[in-house]
Amino acid sequence: MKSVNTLFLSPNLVRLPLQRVAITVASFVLLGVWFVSVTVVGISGSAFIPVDSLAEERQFVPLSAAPLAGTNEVFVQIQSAKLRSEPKFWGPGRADLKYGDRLERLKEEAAWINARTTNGVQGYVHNSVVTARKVVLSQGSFAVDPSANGSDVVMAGKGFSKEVELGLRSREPALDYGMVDELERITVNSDQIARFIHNGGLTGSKELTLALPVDEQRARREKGTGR
Amino acid sequence: MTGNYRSNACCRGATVRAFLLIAVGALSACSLTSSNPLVRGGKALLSATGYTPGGTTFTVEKPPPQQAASISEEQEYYIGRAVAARVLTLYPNIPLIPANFENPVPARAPAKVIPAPERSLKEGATARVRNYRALVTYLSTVANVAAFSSARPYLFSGYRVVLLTSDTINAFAAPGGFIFITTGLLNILPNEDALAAVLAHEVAHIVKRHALQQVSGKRFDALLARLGELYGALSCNEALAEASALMDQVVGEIVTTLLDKGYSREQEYEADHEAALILARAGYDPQVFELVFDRLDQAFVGNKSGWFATHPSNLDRRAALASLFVGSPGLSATPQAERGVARRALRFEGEIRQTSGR
Repeated sequence: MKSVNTLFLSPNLVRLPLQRVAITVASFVLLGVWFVSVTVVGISGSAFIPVDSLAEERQFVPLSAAPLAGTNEVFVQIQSAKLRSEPKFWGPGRADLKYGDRLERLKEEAAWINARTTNGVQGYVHNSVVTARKVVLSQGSFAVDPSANGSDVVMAGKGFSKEVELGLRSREPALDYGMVDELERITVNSDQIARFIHNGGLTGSKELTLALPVDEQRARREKGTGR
Repeated sequence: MTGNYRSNACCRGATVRAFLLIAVGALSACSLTSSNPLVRGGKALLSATGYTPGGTTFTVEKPPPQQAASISEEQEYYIGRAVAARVLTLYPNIPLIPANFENPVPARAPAKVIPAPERSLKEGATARVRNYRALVTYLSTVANVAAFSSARPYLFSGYRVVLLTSDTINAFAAPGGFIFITTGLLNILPNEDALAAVLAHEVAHIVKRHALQQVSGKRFDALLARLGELYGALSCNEALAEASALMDQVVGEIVTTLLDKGYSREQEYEADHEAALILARAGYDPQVFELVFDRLDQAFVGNKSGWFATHPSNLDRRAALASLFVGSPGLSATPQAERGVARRALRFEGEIRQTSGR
């Protein structure tokens, strides 16, 4: 399916952004392609377009991206992540990233950041992986380092931290941290999620689409189960 | 006091001078945190546009993004773990054996032959653990699909679902990615899309940091100011004890909100709104909320507990979502999404029937 950003609508052949299009009930099938009638907010007239094009409209559902403007330096704010070769949740990883790693932000593509590690490896991370605040890794007390420059800095291990959790556990031994640890051991990796999306026929946004390995695609075609 | 401080492991190697600097740092951190509107709570923090039951649109101010991010992902995760630990003391019937569970059998005890009835009980318990793990993996996968379709797909330690054994119909989310759903709610859901709607609603609460907003600003400010004083006045041990007490109070307020008070109506509508967008992005049918509300209506037997006590009425939520759907053609189910519904419903039936014996 190619990406559809605009439509040409009869009778006026007006070029319009898809967000302004409303789907109506009329539809027909021509040469195996299902067309539906669409109308445009604020303009009289309607047109028939292939249903597949409308599916692409889902890419335009607005998302509030974390603003990182104003700095070319970003820091990994989660335990671990991968620098990906494409702006997608899966696919080949180019580098393993860990909490506090510094990245050079090269450019942003929607919610993805094209970035370079200090070792010179370039790839993509989702903007929720990183923060524009400087992450300072530190050892010792949960007390705050006085050199920390206010809200521009994240002090790893400070505030509500592992250390304070240990204090809480000794304060309230009844808290079931053992079960929390056990539940955290049940994990789902990104490959499992990718396969789950594919097998469930979830035709979501482009970031979620999965290119199955070639041999698996072939096997599915042979079995007649390919989509 | 100084001796205590020097000998304490958490402050090892520090000098009196460093101690004073840390005290100053702690106080400055307090003033920073106290000016953080994220923890002030209240309606002024709500973002985006919501809908009143009558369908009238209202708009409230979005919080500045930098302020919304003031609590680090790491801190949110540790608050979430503490909330989860407390919730699990209230719902103790999880069929998992924690790793730190004290083995009642001494390590050197001679192996004994387990009588047949006892053995079958043990095998039954093993099957329950296996089934629980399988079901939680399925639920967590659906939640992760929703998370990957949200503005916050990655958290410090990811999203996970905890299935609570309870007939009460409920689902709620702690900060840091912990989503809880009861067997009571799971049992009334008809298919995977409906499950995804419930989990997407909980993911939305996490994405919007609603739980953290519940901690009243004034209370938080006062506690942090006190903690700042303690850094300067007490040994590290005592300061840590106070910090733990502060965490305890924060966690207590969040748990009360999740289980008793509920979020504000506006936050619930906002979570529904966000969830509908999440479902659309993932490829689930956003209109499935209608089905979820139908099932909740059928399950309501006049007892306002669990979900019914902490959420606006289904009638109001239907009206709010209907307004959203009318204005957003992208939230209509496409034929592709509808075709997938049947496939996912089959998968859902398989997972639920195999693992819960429904």
